[in-house]
Amino acid sequence: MAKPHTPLLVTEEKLSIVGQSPVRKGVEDLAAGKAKFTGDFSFPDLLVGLILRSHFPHARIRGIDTAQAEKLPGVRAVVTHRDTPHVRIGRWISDRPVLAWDKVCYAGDPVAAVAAVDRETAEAALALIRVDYDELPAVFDVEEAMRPGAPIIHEALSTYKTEGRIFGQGNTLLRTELRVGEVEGAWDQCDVLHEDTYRTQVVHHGFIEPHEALAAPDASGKITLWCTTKAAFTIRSGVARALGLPMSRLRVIAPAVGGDYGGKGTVQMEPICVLLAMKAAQPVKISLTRQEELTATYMRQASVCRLKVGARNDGRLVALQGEIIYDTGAYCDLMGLSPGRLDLFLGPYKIPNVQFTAHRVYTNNTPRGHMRGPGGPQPCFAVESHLDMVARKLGISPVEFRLRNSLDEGDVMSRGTVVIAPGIKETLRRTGRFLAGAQKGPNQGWGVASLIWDGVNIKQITPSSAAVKINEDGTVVLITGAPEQGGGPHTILSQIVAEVLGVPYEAVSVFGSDTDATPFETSVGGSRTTYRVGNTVRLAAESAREQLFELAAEKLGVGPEGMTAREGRIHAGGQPEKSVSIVELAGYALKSRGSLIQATGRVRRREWYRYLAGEAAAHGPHGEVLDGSPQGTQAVKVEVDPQTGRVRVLEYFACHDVGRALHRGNVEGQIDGAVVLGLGYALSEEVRLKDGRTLVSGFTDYKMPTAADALQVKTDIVEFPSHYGPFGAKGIAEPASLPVAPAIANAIYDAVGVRLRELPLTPEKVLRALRERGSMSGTTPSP
Amino acid sequence: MKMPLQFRVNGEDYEVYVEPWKTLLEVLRDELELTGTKAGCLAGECGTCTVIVDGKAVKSCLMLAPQAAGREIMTVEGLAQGGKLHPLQQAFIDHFAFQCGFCTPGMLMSSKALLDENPHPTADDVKEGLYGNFCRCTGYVKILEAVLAAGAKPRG
Ligand code: FES
Ligand code: FES
Repeated sequence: MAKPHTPLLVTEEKLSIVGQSPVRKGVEDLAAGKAKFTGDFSFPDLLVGLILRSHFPHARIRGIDTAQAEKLPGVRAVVTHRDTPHVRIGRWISDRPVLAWDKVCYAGDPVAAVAAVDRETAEAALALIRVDYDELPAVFDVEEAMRPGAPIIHEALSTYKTEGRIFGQGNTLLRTELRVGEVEGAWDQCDVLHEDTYRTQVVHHGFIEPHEALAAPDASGKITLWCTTKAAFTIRSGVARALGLPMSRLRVIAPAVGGDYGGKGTVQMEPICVLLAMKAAQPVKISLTRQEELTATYMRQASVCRLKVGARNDGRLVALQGEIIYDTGAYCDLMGLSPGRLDLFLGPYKIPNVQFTAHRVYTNNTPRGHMRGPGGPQPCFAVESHLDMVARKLGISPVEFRLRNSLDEGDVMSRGTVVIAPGIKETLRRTGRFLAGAQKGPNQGWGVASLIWDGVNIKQITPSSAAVKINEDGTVVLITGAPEQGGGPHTILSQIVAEVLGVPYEAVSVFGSDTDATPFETSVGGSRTTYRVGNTVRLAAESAREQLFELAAEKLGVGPEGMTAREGRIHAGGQPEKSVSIVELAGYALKSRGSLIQATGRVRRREWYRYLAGEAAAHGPHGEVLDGSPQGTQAVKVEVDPQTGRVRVLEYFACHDVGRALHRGNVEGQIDGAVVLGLGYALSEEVRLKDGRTLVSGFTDYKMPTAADALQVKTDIVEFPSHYGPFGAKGIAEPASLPVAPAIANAIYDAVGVRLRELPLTPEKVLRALRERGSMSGTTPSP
Repeated sequence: MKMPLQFRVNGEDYEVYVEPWKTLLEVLRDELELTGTKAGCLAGECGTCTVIVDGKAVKSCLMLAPQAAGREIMTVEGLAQGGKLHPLQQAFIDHFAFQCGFCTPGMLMSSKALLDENPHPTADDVKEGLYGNFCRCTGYVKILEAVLAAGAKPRG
């Protein structure tokens, strides 16, 4: 079958519920306080689990003595590495022990854990565990960690299991180079050159619900694990591997999740919780404290980025050279980094000559992983700040400069990637129109930044499957491994089911996510849930619709050709007056077939591969096609107080190509939230560390935006449909947070003429920059 | 060590035996199994544990059980009446004022306390009233809209 499977393609159809903003699934329960989050589950004999963590950033473990703790009344289990197989776990690279056995690599590394009848007893037990350490030399500066002679954090790195290829020299876990054209020969063609260095900080996801896990063993030894995750199957395989358990002994349930932002997709303390529950033969709950959240979860990497960019007087980019170094802390939970992805990190532009290298380097800092746009916000800050300066040197407006260099339909990115239906130019044009009427007063300025983000290319089609069941009364259950983490997947997936089956949205309910009951789902996230899971669910619903058509053909005495499903009825092809209700067919199925109408859908990897490979071949030798890639442009107006350095955000415009907004209210909600999350990154948030020790401990010193920072974001939604996403959808959740920091930095420059290169853009840094500029030019900053 | 304490929560009377150092939050969640009130930080910083005690918004993780005993307590479970959501809850739904919903119980209770005291607040009043409640999902703007909308309605 050479012809691709048609259901994936967007068809121009009249839509009923897709594109509307129906009331989100599950909201009544959330508003009533009835929705169950992990922490809301309990058992009469529930134990409290606590983790003993290293306070040394790098130390060899000489011995662990738990005898005293075990004797304490009320203690039901104490565990150390002696209770685990010595295997390392991790998503892309298995670099992390569940409980350290030979050495600890950061201040916060788990060494032991206890389960006790209450928190007080558990705390007392932790205090009784004695760990003998030999402190080792440590390294905290990422560039020092790359130098020869630096203390090595993972001596056996080259033997670690990984899904990709590791670089593995010294502390450098990964080195990826993007090389296109000939940078060295290109500088001569440039009329302007600009070089600079940018730095970004560590930030935490800041979900209000901390990580929690509750493991409950039954008498047969099977464990049910409730946990704060958006990837129940990842947790199951991770815990099974960490503890050497068969998967049949583990059932992972992801109930309501209180915010994720990339941080709840991987194994964290769940294996410890399961281990304690097994040893105690009693249910155990672990709830991370805020301090543990800020110390021992996988946060966004700090980075250093050096850039040199050259352009011609006509505004064309000629060459980009540079590197980015990510401090990945003691353990790295990020997925691999391909040259194609690096290309995306450099923005939605065509740059003929590029040489850009990314390094991920271990240090003895706290561990790092995914957070809303993994790997993206750091280079986005650098590149978008940098391009602003290049545009200024050329005397071209930032919007016009980006327009001259950005992707059009059929254009290839630096590495030859063809982006299907790129919306970037349209977002720039609309931003330009918006800015045409923009005003600014003294010490006020406008800043612009753009982004491109991952869609789906051949390598990124991760497994996904779902089932649809039509009850005998015609209502529908969608069974999916995708949990609801706040991003609205259950709502959007229900809309897709309702649309395909022609049933009311209210008739669809969602069951998920439970590894014993739902089809396999990799996770929600990557701004690809709507695209990837949405397609899977669409295929499941279409398959159920086929069955409805067959049954309708029997009932109506017509052929199934040309049938349609709408308004709760199946209509015969060519004779729309002949129809039968889905309710009737659903009951009829049970009688005539002995089963409800039920169908599954799955990611059709081969077919997708064929599509994309076919499209890629049509575009030349590099042959990579990216579909569903979201792009956008944001503009922000700030006011800088020259006395205090305080930056106030006055207006915000966010224009994003989302392919098709399946749920407009949800898209706007994602943009609102992403922009304010970006504000925190830009202006105030930092998980400060000193010599590997985390200096912040909660929301008081880790400064996230509050209600006082609420922003009326003007959203403008562009819809350039993706080719293979359900109804043309692309993603939005991550993209909308990427350009915030550079847009603000650019606005500060526009306001007061100082370039800030280091996040967060705190009043102290603004003030220092103003003073420096003042002393350089011999004047004080103008009021 | 444990002591008997009487609570009046959402109009119902309860008696529990707890250690005097337990917080109101622990009593609500662990003893009374009213898990609508959430625990986000246990340090008075996030606001998701907010309940109303004698008409005032209180962070229940900071109030010791004996301090709360005998007083009139209202939690998110007490908002809906006769199976019908409270207008504030409905306003939150209508205005997409939450995504994950983990901050919502605290937001609702802070908002309720605010509106009870100041039935027609301005945007600045609401921002101030919700200052102690973090939300990481929504960027707050739709929460403000919801509270303002609920405040604009004639209230019975
Ligand atoms: S749990 Fe009480 S304020 Fe956070
Ligand atoms: S809705 Fe998720 S934290 Fe507020």
